[in-house]
Amino acid sequence: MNLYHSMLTQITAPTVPQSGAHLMPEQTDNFGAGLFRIVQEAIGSIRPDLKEAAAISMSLIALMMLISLIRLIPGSNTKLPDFICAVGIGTVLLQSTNSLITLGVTTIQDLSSYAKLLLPVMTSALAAQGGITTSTALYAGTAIFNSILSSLLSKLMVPMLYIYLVLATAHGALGEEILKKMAEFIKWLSVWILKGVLYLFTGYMGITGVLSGTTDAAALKAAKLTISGVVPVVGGILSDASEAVLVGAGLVRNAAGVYGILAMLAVFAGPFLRIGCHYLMIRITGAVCSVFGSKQCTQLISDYSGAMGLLLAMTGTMCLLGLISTVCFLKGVG
Amino acid sequence: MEGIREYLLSVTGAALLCSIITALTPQKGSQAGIVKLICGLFLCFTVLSPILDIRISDLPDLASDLLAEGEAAALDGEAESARALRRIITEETEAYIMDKAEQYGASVTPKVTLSDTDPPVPDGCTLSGSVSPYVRQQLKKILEADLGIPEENQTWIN
Repeated sequence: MNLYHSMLTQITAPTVPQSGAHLMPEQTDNFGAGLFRIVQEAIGSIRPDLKEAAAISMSLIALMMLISLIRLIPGSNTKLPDFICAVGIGTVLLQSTNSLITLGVTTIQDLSSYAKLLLPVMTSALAAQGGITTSTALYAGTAIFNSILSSLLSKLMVPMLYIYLVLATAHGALGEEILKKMAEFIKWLSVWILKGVLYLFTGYMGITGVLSGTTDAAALKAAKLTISGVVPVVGGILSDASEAVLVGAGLVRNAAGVYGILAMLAVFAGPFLRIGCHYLMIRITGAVCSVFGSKQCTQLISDYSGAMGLLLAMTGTMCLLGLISTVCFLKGVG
Repeated sequence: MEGIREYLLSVTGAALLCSIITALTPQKGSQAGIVKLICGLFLCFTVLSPILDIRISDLPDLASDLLAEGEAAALDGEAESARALRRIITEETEAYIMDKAEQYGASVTPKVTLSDTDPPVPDGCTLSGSVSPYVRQQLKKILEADLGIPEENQTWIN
């Protein structure tokens, strides 16, 4: 136990970021209990967002109903109501969408920064347990993918999201097919980039873990053989000491890993549920409005919910990257 | 990344411009066809021309820097593990010596030093305490036979 505590002071997971501190459980020994607490607190905190999403939904339904009534007036222009509808939908949704995108970007940055702090800790812990090759390879892969993904998300995909919304709104107002095709292409490209990065990352971590884990396991086996070759009493002391160090390092690694996973989930859960409830509400609104609204305007509402879906995918991908890498470190050697 | 963002903005701007122009022009007749053709060519040019200038840049320094950081973190962990191992070996060896001395009714305070080999083994010992010549002789044999500490590396302090 003294060894465990002394190693723990040297190898400790970084403190959870401020954005997730209110959801972080006090005790992180039990992963299941900690996870349950995070989910419980996060669900309890989204009540104001549900009210806001419901208000937006009502506004959209009222707007669509009004436009439908205007269409019923004999001799009315067929294109003007769509134009006004698109402008109205954009006005209702743009502010909340913008604040949610800002929230998503902040969450991505917090997750990326925390992963960068957690990585050296997990690397040290795994190396202390004998997994030197594995820890270095996992560190390099995670750090590279983390940098690439956070740059892609903040500098490319978030601007693409705004462009998508602009194209969708313009299509809703003007009805030009080329705008719709451009918006669909951007959506497809965003999903393709996220999937590609995640597949490559998962593949790299899986293969690296197997190959370098074999090297470390062989090294550990060779070390045990060396110990068995010394004088009996010393050999017994060496064997006990090595076992104690491995067990202590394993405990430290597990403690840091579980804390890190809970911290990442604490940062991710709140924003995910907030964006998620807006996404669901807008989607439901689109389905309701399709009964009496024009196809163009209903499509615009669906496009906004699609943008929320993309935002969920972006934040989810960043969180998943951190979780997968931490689990790979926790898996250990062999 | 800035270049890609500007590219997307230029393609989006071109698409918006083309759609506004096609919306403003009559939908039927040769004029509509010409306008659509020109818009299509303009859009193709906007989409394709930057692609011809793309140069795939490698990630030269990023990967090597991150690999070096990973190695440094792994070395820290390995050093911490080695420190812990040496601490335990020292404590257990000293405890073993004190147990053996107690069997002869003596009380000694050992201070063991370890070699720099991998794994580290005891290679020296300083013992302090008042013991009879017989007990001292027995302990010398035990230190050499059981722990591999040669007599010349054993120091006695009364």
